[in-house]
Amino acid sequence: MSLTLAEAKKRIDRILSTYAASTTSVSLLSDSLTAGKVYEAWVLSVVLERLRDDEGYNVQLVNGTQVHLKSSPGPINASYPHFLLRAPGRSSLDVWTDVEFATLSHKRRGEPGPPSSAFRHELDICVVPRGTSGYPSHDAVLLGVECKNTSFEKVMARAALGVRRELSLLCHPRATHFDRWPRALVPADPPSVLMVYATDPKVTTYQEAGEVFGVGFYHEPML
Amino acid sequence: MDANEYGEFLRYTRERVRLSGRADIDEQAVRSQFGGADRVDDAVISYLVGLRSELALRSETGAREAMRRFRGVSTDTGQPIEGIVLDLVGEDAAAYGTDRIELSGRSALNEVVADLDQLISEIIQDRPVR
Repeated sequence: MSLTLAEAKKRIDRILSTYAASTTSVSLLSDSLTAGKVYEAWVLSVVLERLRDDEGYNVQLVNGTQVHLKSSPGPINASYPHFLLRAPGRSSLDVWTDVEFATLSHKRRGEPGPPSSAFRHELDICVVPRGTSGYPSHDAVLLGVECKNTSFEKVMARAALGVRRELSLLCHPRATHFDRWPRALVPADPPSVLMVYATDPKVTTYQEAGEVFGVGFYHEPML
Repeated sequence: MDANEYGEFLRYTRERVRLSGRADIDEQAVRSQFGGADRVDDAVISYLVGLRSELALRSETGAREAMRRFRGVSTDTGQPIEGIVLDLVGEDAAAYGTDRIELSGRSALNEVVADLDQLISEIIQDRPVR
């Protein structure tokens, strides 16, 4: 039997009533924040799985038994829970979330002391050499990942290109820290890998342009 | 439903979503991956899929799927990973009145998502043949 307009409205009323009944003032506020963070956790799990399966790293959560994400980015606090990557014959790496790195422009300005806000940019996921602390220097970032669980807008692609510039300069392809995944070569000096994951398939329209500067744009649906 | 009725249903649904206090979800759903739909029945499906996607991320399923992906990861204590938490820093902690939120999702939204899946499925079956 075909769905009538009246029946369709009744169904949507029921669905949204169930939603409203489950919603408190706190959840109304926190839903948007947590939805983005759940997606960040999802991408983190994807990245760790690929580093384990494709690169051969042993992955371990250290300093806790819960995965911790932060509502605002900041420096690396070495005592905070994070992931440790180890593999025979390779240097160990740390995987952090919600970290700001000290930019290339900060280094070129040559100013002493910690970088001010304008000289820091956030990475949702950041892989650095084991033991890196504070605001990692742009040349300490081996892999940076941005996660977007919203409609992917052009301004986001532009932002990623800006982060790319603050991580490295464009050059002929150079070997990254990785053998296979996410990529062995990148046209960047220092040769950090920068990836943007999004739930919106439109993200892939920027893949070809991003490739020129070594930014990977990937569609990663969650559910 | 004919084209006019699909149009009315879309307006009605958007209004109901906004009245539930989620203008942000309405906007996300409108700008979702099928936002460029040419036909009004496609636009209805596009909107409902976007709405479903947004609510699924807030549901228990979203957090559970993320946790499932962490199963293969050990901890330095030898214990399995027990959960995912969001630490609220500075102004965020003051705004939310807490410094930590468990990312476990809301179980009530599982039912909402399942009902939306069913409604989308029926609308897809019912829409006019191209």
